[in-house]
Amino acid sequence: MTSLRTRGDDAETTSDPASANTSQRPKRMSAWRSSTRGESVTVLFWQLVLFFGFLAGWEWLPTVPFLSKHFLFFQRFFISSPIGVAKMVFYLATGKNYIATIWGPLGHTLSAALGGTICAIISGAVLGLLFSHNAYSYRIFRPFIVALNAVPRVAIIPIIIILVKSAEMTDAVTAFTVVFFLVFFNAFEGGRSVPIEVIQNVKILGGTAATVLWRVRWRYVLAWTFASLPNAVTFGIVGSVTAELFTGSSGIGQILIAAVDEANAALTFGVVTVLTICSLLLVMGSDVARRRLLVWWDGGGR
Amino acid sequence: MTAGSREGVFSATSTDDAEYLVRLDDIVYSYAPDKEVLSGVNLGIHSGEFISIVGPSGCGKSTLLSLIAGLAKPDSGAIRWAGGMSRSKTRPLFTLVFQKDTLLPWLSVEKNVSFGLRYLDITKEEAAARTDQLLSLVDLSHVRHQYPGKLSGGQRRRVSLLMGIAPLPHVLLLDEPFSALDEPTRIGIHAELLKMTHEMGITTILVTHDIGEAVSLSDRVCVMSSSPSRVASDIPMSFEEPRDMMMIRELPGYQKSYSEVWRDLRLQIHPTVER
Repeated sequence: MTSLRTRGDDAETTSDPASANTSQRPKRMSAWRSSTRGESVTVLFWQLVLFFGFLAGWEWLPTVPFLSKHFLFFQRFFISSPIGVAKMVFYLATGKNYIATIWGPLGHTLSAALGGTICAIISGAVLGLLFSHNAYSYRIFRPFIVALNAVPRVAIIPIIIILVKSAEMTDAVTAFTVVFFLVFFNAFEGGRSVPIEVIQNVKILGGTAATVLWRVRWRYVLAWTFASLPNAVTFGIVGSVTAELFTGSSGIGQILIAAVDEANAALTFGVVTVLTICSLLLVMGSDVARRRLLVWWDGGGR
Repeated sequence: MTAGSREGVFSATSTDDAEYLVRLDDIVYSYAPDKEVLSGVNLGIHSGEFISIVGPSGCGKSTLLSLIAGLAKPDSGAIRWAGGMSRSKTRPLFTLVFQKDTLLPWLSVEKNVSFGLRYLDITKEEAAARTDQLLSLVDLSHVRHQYPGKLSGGQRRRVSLLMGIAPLPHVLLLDEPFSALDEPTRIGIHAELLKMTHEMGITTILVTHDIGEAVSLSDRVCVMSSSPSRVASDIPMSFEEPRDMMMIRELPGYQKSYSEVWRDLRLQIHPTVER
């Protein structure tokens, strides 16, 4: 059959080999790619400058007598030093210098945080989907959900301890309570963001209410849920450690309490550094998972 | 379908039921108790016809399509389908192409096009063959595996159009689907649209604010009055078939038809200006 296309129609397509202006495209694409790569290098450069500048300032500023004399914040006793923290991280990792290794407590904290976070993501996404599909129910439940979200989690940790009767479960449940609302509100907004025309079109084409729920709205909910993953993971770890600090019975929180009791700034910052590295790795992992699972989302440029 | 069968002069007041595929009888619709938008719309559409509806902004053109599509119910009046037609397992009564993008961004181009086919009683092979045919008809076979987010505006509109055409509806409803496109792209899609609707025998109702688009594509152009509106005039378009979308605007009859539609539309917008 004859093609009835017009010139310039596909000019904005990013991967159309049959485009009319192919002679110009490779040059333009190549220039665009190299400019993007150049920008990434510049961003990395400034990130490294900031990171090493921060470390240098941390190492050097406490040696300035004026600062350490007038500001507690610049005293080694309180903030240790990058070299001292690096040594402590090494001891925590290897168990040398009479320091117990961090792996056991770290595993405990991360497993509790991830367990609570995963449960919160699943339940938050499903409830967000159901409420977004039924606006009437949401109108009824909304004040209660908002009120529950406003409850300070730390305040209910003692109640959680009494209810679950286990320190490990307390960590997971606290992580759950912190992450759940974040995911729920994101999922709900995702479900509500489906354009009315898309729903009408699916119904006109023959789809049922169940089709709209699972084939359309669920996709939007998933996208918005995955978008909240990095924050959810971080919040989960923070929730779990907060519970451990409160119960003081196990995990990273127990080490932090011990470090504070001994006024050991290097140990405190060492544990925080290990936790930060783990959080960064988990966030990067969740970001990679999101990109893999939502190729179409990034393809849409959103 | 022959060109001759598409050129009958329509009378908005005709009551000959057998002639029409779908007929709107005295449709009244209000957004609110004191905000009537459609006030006794009478309109009949013959099988295989391409009609366009133009009118002042806010006169209820899109609302009329929503009523035909069952997205809203008229306050009074009736929408009658020929012989009590209803959605069959192999062919829907109608589909609607919206002004806004309704593509599903997580599905590839071909899966978007074939989305409506999963609800019809046709085999996977038939569905695949129909999708292939439509994609090649508008020259989109090379992007069939891409996501909509990677397409240009013109390509996205083509895919939306195919999504509506693929189930081979009896009536294709188009709600200003080309308004956001540049002129050359729009004319290209017009040609493809006419070719597909003619070949597949699809009746088409287009709502548009572009008189040129209405004149060049349609067998009839219905001009709506200002809100609360009704069909003010119904103007037949006579051009040699098949129409050449690239050349139609050069034809002497085109300017005459354009002026006729514009004059009627102008009278609805500025009724005090002399005819």
